[in-house]
Amino acid sequence: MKKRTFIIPVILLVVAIVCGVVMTICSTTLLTTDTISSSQSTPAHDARLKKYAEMAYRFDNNYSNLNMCANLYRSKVYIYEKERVASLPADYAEKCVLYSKALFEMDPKEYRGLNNIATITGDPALTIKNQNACNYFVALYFTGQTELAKSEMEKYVDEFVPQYYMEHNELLQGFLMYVYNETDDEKDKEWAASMRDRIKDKVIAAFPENYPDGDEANNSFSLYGFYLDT
Amino acid sequence: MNLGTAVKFRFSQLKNITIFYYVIILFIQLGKCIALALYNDFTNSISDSYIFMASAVMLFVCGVMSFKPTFKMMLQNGYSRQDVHNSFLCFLPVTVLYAVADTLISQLQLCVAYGITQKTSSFKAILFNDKYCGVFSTLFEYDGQYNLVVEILLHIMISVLIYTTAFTLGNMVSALFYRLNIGGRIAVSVGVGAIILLSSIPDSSFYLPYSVLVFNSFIYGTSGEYGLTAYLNHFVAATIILIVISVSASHLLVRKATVKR
Repeated sequence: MKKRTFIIPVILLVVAIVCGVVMTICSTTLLTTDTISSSQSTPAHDARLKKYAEMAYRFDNNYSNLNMCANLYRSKVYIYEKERVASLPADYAEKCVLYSKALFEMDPKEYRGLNNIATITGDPALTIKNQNACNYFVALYFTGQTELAKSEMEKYVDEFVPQYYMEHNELLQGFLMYVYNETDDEKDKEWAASMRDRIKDKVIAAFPENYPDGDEANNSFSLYGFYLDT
Repeated sequence: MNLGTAVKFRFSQLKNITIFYYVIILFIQLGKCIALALYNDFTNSISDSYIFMASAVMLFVCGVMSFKPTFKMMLQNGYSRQDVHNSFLCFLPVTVLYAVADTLISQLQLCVAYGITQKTSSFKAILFNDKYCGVFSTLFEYDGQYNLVVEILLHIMISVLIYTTAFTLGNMVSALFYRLNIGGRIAVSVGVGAIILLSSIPDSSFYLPYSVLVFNSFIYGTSGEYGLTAYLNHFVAATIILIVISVSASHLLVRKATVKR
């Protein structure tokens, strides 16, 4: 009896401490801090971060952890860091799709936590959707699901809000430029050009004062860089 | 069995403190209502989080009192340390009463504040209105998409967890100080203070101090760098872990007698 009153609390104490330490290590905060503080990332460091982030997401699939995973598996690497593509893990593109799709489709209600303080400013639903939409289409494209990527992007462009687009346009521009410049398929080139025109028209219609001549002047709301190598 | 008597003694002690505490809280709330009637500004009446914070501190102090002056008298009357510890465990459900009372007081104050500022006595208008004034709406800055009853129950559940954590942590501190000699008490007090102080210094890049980040990641499961957002399941897990640690540790601490002269 005396032994039991000693052993049970000891076991509970040890288990609770271990759980607390694991929870803390797996939490996004440390991962985020780690990412910020690592100015020179190495493959081993990246692999470790991904492992912990995915563990955290499996443990608790909240917005914060999912966002962390989506940030670690970003499809922009296929466009802007082509030299790294060969060294990426085999399942990189699939995970890009998995996390960016989960984030893209996440119910905006789930962005909030207990105290309802949004981690971003503006309209969380629109900002997060726009941030991750491009990540999702590009990931789909690089897993070989080109038709699905195109149809999803067309749906997105029909609905997107230019104000939010302007803050997150880099990947979208890069993607369309990539499709236009790197592919030999004429249909793909045409598709990229038509998408670019649709986006441009929407942005110019939303900010006519910034584009008095309908051109692409290099100002604060510029479409600069959104050119196709024609 | 002295457990029953220990529970009775603890009840009478806690009852007096609780009555005194809630009288003060009700006076403060009354003062707020009078101020509202004078200044007629509803927005300043919304924040009632102080009640929950005050109750958590109150219960922590009650926990700390576990092995304080009355203990020696209890020992003289034949109570054992284990009786005192077990009677404390019997009192854990008291946190539910505190949580329900605090939620009711907070919501009642909102009803009165809304009635005063909007000059209405309509029950319906007070209970169900827009997102800033609805009595049931301000618990989590209600945005019209959640079930009201679930919100209230959730709020009570979270309060219970916070209160129980504070109560048990207080008891653990009390048990720890009971076991330590004077030198140990000073070493623990100064050491904990020094660690908190040193780890609270932000680094050169002006991010949050590392200790705060670790604390946030344990309690809330998320970053505190871009605004603190707590996630329910992580928060529940963290508080349960703290409760288990403090109850187990205090049980182990009071297990052996310390000879005191």
